[in-house]
Amino acid sequence: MPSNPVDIYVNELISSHGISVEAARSRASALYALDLDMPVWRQYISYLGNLIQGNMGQSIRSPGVRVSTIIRARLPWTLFTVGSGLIISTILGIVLGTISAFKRDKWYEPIITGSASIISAIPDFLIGIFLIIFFGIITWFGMDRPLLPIQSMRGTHTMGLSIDDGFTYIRDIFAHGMFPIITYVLAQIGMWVLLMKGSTTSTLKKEYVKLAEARGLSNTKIMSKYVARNAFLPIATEFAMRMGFILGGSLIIEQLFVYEGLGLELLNAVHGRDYPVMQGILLIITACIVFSNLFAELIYGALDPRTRRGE
Amino acid sequence: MTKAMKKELLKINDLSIAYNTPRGKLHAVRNVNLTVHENEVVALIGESGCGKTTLCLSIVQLDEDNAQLLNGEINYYKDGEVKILTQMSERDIKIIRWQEIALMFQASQSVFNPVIKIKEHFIDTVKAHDNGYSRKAIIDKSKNLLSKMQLDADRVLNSYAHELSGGMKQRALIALSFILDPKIVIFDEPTTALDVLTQRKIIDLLRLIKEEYDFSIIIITHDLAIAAELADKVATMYAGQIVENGKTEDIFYSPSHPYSYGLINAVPKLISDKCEGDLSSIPGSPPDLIDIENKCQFSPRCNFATEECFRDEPTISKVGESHFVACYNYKNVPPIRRDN
Repeated sequence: MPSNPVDIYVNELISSHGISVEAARSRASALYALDLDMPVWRQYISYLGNLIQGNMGQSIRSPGVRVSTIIRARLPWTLFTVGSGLIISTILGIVLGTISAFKRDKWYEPIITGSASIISAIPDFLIGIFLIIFFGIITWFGMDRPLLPIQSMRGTHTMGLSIDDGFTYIRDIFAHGMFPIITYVLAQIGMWVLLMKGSTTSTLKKEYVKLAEARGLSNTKIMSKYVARNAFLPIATEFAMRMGFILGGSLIIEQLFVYEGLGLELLNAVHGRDYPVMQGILLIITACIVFSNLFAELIYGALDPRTRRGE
Repeated sequence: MTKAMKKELLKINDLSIAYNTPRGKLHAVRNVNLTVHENEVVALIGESGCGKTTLCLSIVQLDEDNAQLLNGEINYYKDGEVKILTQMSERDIKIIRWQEIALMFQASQSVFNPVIKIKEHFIDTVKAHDNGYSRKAIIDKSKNLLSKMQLDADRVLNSYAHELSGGMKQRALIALSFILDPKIVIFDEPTTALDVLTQRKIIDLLRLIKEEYDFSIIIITHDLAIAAELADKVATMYAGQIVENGKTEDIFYSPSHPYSYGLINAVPKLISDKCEGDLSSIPGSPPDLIDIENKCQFSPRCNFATEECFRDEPTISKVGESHFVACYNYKNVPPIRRDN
């Protein structure tokens, strides 16, 4: 392991406290609950054995705290912000994309498509920085302070508040989560608009849509049963795939807004060389991606008969 | 019953349609006159891009967004009443579509919605025109039609489009076109993308169904064999115009327009004692329909062209009973040799 935290700790004990190697090692293993005399593969097997029982070990930086406890505390916040961002951006994107596909001759269509292309090209951390500058730093003309008190919006919620406070609490978590959510929405909405527009436009040109018109079907019927159902297929897949990146994508944004979610925890674990925590979080992210891919496959099978197995 | 006694069903009067393109107006259909009588099969022949499809799309008012009606009208006669299709509102034309005039597109391989079963297409079609039918009644009628097309009706109805072969899809589509007992069925290239045996089968089935029901057919094709076999009347289109129009036998054995003559001569003959080497063809390519010059459009490719042809566009001459041609030199066009 590069810059093994146990070695670092052992060396530190030896050099600063002047104790023998054996004593230092035994103190370290007691602290980290590691049996350093076991061969690496046996250590790994015992890690896997613990993992199956839901025990991901203990944090190195904060000894005695279990990794699963840390993840359980941080996971909901990330799910909340990234999840809301994904859902809001998808819904807005589908609506705007459909509008721009149907109103291709209107003046506002190039505006929608153009801004979607531009915004989808800006990386999410830049969007986050712009938001901070515009709302939290610049004092706009005629005002004595920035638009929003960005200092007090750090973190996931105001200290001391809990779910028992009801509506105040809900308003508080939205106020704190607002910036990350807006960032996620802006970072993804362009992609959804373009995807939905492209998918709808190409479906509208399909022969079966034209034949449905020739058959005298009502416009509502054509739109719902012939256009929307087919145009939605790539959206559904993309949505399911993106769910997998919900957790992984939050790293930089959470650091930017000092939002204590899983991403920030992972970042801190990397800085502090807290391997068990790192491993635990990466494991959760991996599982999330694997399951959402599986979900994407299942969704596709349900929506598109062409991908189903023949009976 | 002689043909003269038959009632007119569809009459296209002096129809001109242009597409607005970045380069200018593309005149896809120019001053077309065509009449379809009850129970008649009319074949439209001509090369790609001569305006056949545009003409048929305009009958049910399904032209592309950039198409523009320049002049003329299309009349449809129903119960002694005239309906001007070119002036109908979107709501009224929806009723005409499929119930009176069914238009089947060229690309029959992708005309079924891939995510719903074939039976849903039948049900949707009927319900769009008359909500009174139960699903079961519609299914029963569909089954009847599908078995007429020699398909396993139950299997086809419960399949998705991708589970059917090309020929099956084409036959299912033909069955679908008869679900509302239309008066006119327009087939745009009904046999392209199908192998020869399947083509044969489709033609036979069309004939069979033609004997059983009363309806007219407009068939667009560049396969002259199909036109010869099915049609009562043939109209040859060139550069957006109908250049010759007449009974099938007249057109096929004594064509009066050099273009019809060329088309018929270009069909390779399998049964021939002596192999004459090269297949005959028509040299050159069709004119640009954006800048139309005042001359016979076919003249640059024509073997019979005279000075006159390059000066002025020819008007329609009457060659025989219901046989019309737009050519100055139609008398010089020889009859087709009947080899076998």
